[in-house]
Formats: sequence, C-alpha cells, structure tokens
Amino acid sequence: MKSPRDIYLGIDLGTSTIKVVVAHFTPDNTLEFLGKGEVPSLSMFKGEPDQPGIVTEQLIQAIESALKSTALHDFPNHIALALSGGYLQTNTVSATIDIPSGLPITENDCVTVMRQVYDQLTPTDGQTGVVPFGKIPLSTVVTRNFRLADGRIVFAPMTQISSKLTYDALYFALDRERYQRIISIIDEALMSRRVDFTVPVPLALSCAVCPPTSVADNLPLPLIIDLGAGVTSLSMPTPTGWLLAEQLNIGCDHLANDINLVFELNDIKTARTLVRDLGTYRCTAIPVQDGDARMLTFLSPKGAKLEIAANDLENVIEARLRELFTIIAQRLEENQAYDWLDQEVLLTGDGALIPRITELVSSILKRKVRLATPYKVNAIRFFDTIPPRYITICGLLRAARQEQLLKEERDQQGNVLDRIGIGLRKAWQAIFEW
Amino acid sequence: MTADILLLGIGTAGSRAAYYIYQRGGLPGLRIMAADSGDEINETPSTLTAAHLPLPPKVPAGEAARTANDTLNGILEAERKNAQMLFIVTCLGGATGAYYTQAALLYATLHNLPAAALVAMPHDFDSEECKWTAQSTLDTLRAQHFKVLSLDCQTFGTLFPDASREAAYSQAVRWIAETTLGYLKLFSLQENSRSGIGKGPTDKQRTRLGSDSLPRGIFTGVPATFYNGENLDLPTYWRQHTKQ
Repeated sequence: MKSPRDIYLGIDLGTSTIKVVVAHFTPDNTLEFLGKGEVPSLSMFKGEPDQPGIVTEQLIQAIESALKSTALHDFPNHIALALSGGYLQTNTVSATIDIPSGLPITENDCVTVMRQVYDQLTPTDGQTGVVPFGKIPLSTVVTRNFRLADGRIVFAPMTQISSKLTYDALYFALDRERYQRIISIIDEALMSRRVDFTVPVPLALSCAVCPPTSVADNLPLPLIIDLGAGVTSLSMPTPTGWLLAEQLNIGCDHLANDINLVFELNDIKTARTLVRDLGTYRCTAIPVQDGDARMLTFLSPKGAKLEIAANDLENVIEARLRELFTIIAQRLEENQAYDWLDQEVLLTGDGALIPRITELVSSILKRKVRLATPYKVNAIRFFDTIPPRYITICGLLRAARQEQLLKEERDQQGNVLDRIGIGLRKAWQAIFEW
Repeated sequence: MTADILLLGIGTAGSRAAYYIYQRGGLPGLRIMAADSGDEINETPSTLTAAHLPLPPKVPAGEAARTANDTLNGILEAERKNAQMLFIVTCLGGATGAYYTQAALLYATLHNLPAAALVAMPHDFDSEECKWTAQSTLDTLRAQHFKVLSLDCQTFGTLFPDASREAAYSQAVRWIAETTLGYLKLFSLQENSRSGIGKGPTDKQRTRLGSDSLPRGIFTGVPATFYNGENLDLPTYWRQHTKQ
C-alpha cells in the first residue's frame, strides 16, 4: 500500500449523487481506484446545495464509505474538488500587443501579452480589474487562443508574422456567497483538512477523456459534452488550453421536472425514475409517433397507479433535449468553435445513457456522436466499465495530479514569468497555475 | 399527531396562488382548493379541486348574501371533514376576495376550526376603490380578531421599479404562494396523498398567465436559467406549445 502522500481523494458534489474516489497513479500513469463512495445528494439543484446541512451529512457518508473501502485510516495527502454549478461562470479576458514590423512572434512576445492578461485579473491598488463585482476569480486561468492582426486564430503563434498579437484567456469567476456555501460544506465534512485542488468540471472532462498527445497541433478539436443531472458542461481542449470550457445550467433534472409538471405527477421522485429507466420502459429520445399504442403503467411511491402514453413522454423529452443541444450548437457558433470541431462528439454524464440520445445529438450537431470513455483507468474492483457519471471525477484526479507535478516543478523554477513559460510550452497546462 | 390543512385560494389572485402551490407539489398533509367567481376558475386542471362561487352580493346583501354563503359553506362542509386547520390565501382588493374571506373565516369560527388568512394588499398603481376595499376589509377582519397576515404589495412593488403591472401581479401571486409554503411548512407533518395525471395548464392559461406565472416545479426558489430571454426552467414542451 502506498503512503497517503501519493494518494488522491476526489470529490464530485453532483446534483444527483455525491461521488468520492480515492485513487493513485501507477508508474505508467494509469489511474487506479482504491476506494469509492457514492450517496444520493438529496438536496442539490443545478449543482448547488439547497439545504447545506443535508448535503454535508451526505458528503460525510460518501467520504467515510470511500475511505472504508481502502486500507487507509487517514485522509490522503491530496484532496481535489470538482467545481460545477450556477455559481461558476466562464469569462474571457484579452490583451493585445504590437509586434515590431517584419519580425516573427517570439516566445517572449507571448509571455508579455499573457502577462498583461494576468495583470487584468490581479489588479494592483487603484486599478479596476475585469472581474465583475461580487465575483472572485479562480486561480486557474487557461489559454483560449491567440489571434493575429488579420483575425486568424492560432494556438501556437511563435514564428508567425503579424503586426499585432492578441491573447484570449478563459478564467472562471465564482459567485462569492454561493461558492462560500460549497466551501463551508466541504470544510465541515473534511474537518481539519482543506481542499488542495479545485478544478472546474469542463476542464476535468477533457483531462479524463483525451490523453495529452491526442490533441495535435493540426487539429481538429474534440468536443466533450457532459449531460449531468443539474448542469451540462462543454469542453473543447486545444494543444495549449481550451477553446471552449463552459457550462449550461440545464441537466437531466430539467427532464424530470418537465415530466413532473407536464403530466402533473406531483412526484419528482417518480419523474426522476422515469428519466433514469427510460430504456426499461422502451422509450427513447427520438419519439415514435404511435399515439396511445404504448401505455406506460407504473406505481407511484405512494402506491397510486399511473398511466402515461410512451409517445407523450418521448415528445416531452425530445423537446427538452433538442432545445438543449440547439443551444450548444449556438454556443459553438458564437465561439467560432464549429470550424475547429472534430468529426466526432463525445457524450458523458448520466444523460449520455438516454436511449438514442446519440442519434438525436448527431442530427443537431451534424457530427458523429458516441459515449466517451476515460483513458487509462483501472477501477475493476468497483465497475466492469466506468459509468459515464464517473468520468468527471477521473478527470478531476488527473488534473489534480497534473497540478501537483507542476507545483513541484514550479517550486524549482521561480517567478511568474518562468511559470508562464512552462505553461506555454506544455500542452494541457494553464498559464499561471497549471 | 398529524396535520391536515385545507388551503383555500379565494378570488383570482388567491386561486392562482393556490394553483402555483399545487404545481409545486404542495406540502405533506396539505389539501389545496381554489374558489373564484370569475371564469378562469373553470379552466383549472381537473386534478386541482376548484369551485365556482356566485358573484359576491352588493350592500344591502339580503337574499344574495345567504345564497353566496350557502355555496361557500357547502364547499367548506365537504372539504373540512378531515381538516385540522383552514388557511386562506387571497387578495383583498377584489370583491370576491374581500367578501368570501370574511365568510370563510366566520364559517371556521362557527365550526371551531382553527383558521388564518394570508392576504395581499393592492399595489400602488391599483385604484383608490380597490385600496379602500382592501383596507376596510382588513380592518373589519382584524376587529373580529381573525388571524390575518397581510402582504404589503405597495411596498413590495417598489423593489421592482422596472416591472410592468402584469409582472407585478405575477410576482405578487408568487410572493403569496412562497410565503404560504414557508408559513405552513411548520404545520405540515404527514405525507401528501395526492397523485394523478392531468394535462397541465391549458393553452389559454399559459397564454394569459405568461411564463412568469407558470410554475418552475423543483426549481422554484433556485436562480432561474435564462437563455436569450427565455426561462429554461419551464418545460420546453409548454413553451413551444404556447408559441405555436
């Protein structure tokens, strides 16, 4: 057994369930699950706690369950938390510098323009920063892209000739009060321990699914969509960062809520069960317009007999999913991401298991769609295959390890400019912290 | 001991509030009913108990008052059997709310049924007659020692200076509903036995109420998800259906 200092504990406070995984990395970089705990969240909506006391109790249960399934008696040395919910917002910040006429862009130019972005996010006294009032920026800032004077987007601008160089970075703004509620829950559950790494879910997703070498300089870029219970996350990694890393506060809970309201079930539990067990009821995301030919009969938790036409149920589900993925298509257009998009889109999260959802998404995004699988994960003690809802936590643990390695490297490197240099050179590593 | 509360929404605003509470799933032990003298009550989904009341009588009331009271009493008689408490939600600015709230509270007193009312007062922009009706009714109710909580929409409205009148009415309905839920939560102890499948709000209701007044189900009280000005917490199916 490894000592706790080499072991990571990841926490995913999901809207449907709270997942805690204890894991370590083998010498060949395989993520190996040592323990896991999963309990219903009970009081989470759109990734945020409704009744923090209940969520804290559930989290404690999940942590205890995860630690119990390992031989560990103490907390691992590294604790990581996945961030997702309405309190987290992705913003873009930009800076532009002039390049001396006729000279190619150098690494120093890149560092200079990146430094200007850094200054905007951490203003000195008397200056106004770009971060909106009431929000705090997460220390993780990632490269979105560079732009040349003619408007071209490039990810590695060195040696290009251009009179100007613009740098666009993504940063994550947290709503101070709402984020504090999350931290209070975590602090109470961890007692004297603190979270070492916080990773936004859009970043964690690609860390789980795409090995660093898979995103080549010459593109196209993968798109990973995580359809969770409360939030849908989008991740589009580039060789040096993320072209798209954001979330929409819509998830499978919206499907359940739609069913609950439209059919007047007055019972969200039954509606959630219907969404989860659509396959059992032979319903799919693509409606078969057969009227009342397929009637679904089931019992509510209170014992009442309920009947719904499968076709009606499918229509309600399709309307919501079609709307969601149409919005995603719009977000891709607005971010100029469609031009870079690969021929294949990857789906994760519990929503990825909805029957025929891949066909529906494919018809909207005009790409092939398949379920994502995490690379190099050994969780055979717990699962035959990793469920889609665990992909976020796999990525979280990988990102935490990556950050830990970088931190160790930084300790030897020195100042911010050196760190920027490291970030630029290394794929998958952000500018200042990754 | 379990609580079984009869929630009665009276008048247009009260009925809409009752419907909103109903769509949110109510509370354990809460039986919800709406009663109004307008036509809107006839469009209430079949699974919500709704009653059409005669128009409230004018002073001097005479026979009209007895007829009106007989109707209300009949409704309460049928519904009160298992109730341990009557809770009324209404707006006192309208004649229906003003008249029947008093009548219902009187009925409860006569039958030793604990009762309370949550009443919304008119907005700043409502007519003077409406404000006078509301204030004089409130004074009368309090003089009779009825337990009445009032929601001051005049003050509430100033918190939303940019809101239109229609939006202000919707917000007031939600305010009544949310306050009622919060107030009754402490009294509600047993499982709600209501279940069933209906067809949801009618097209007319959706169009008239507007998206602001439609229930958000489990997302009520949670920051809404907006995209291009549309509230995505409302069922897509409803929104698309309304557009058509």
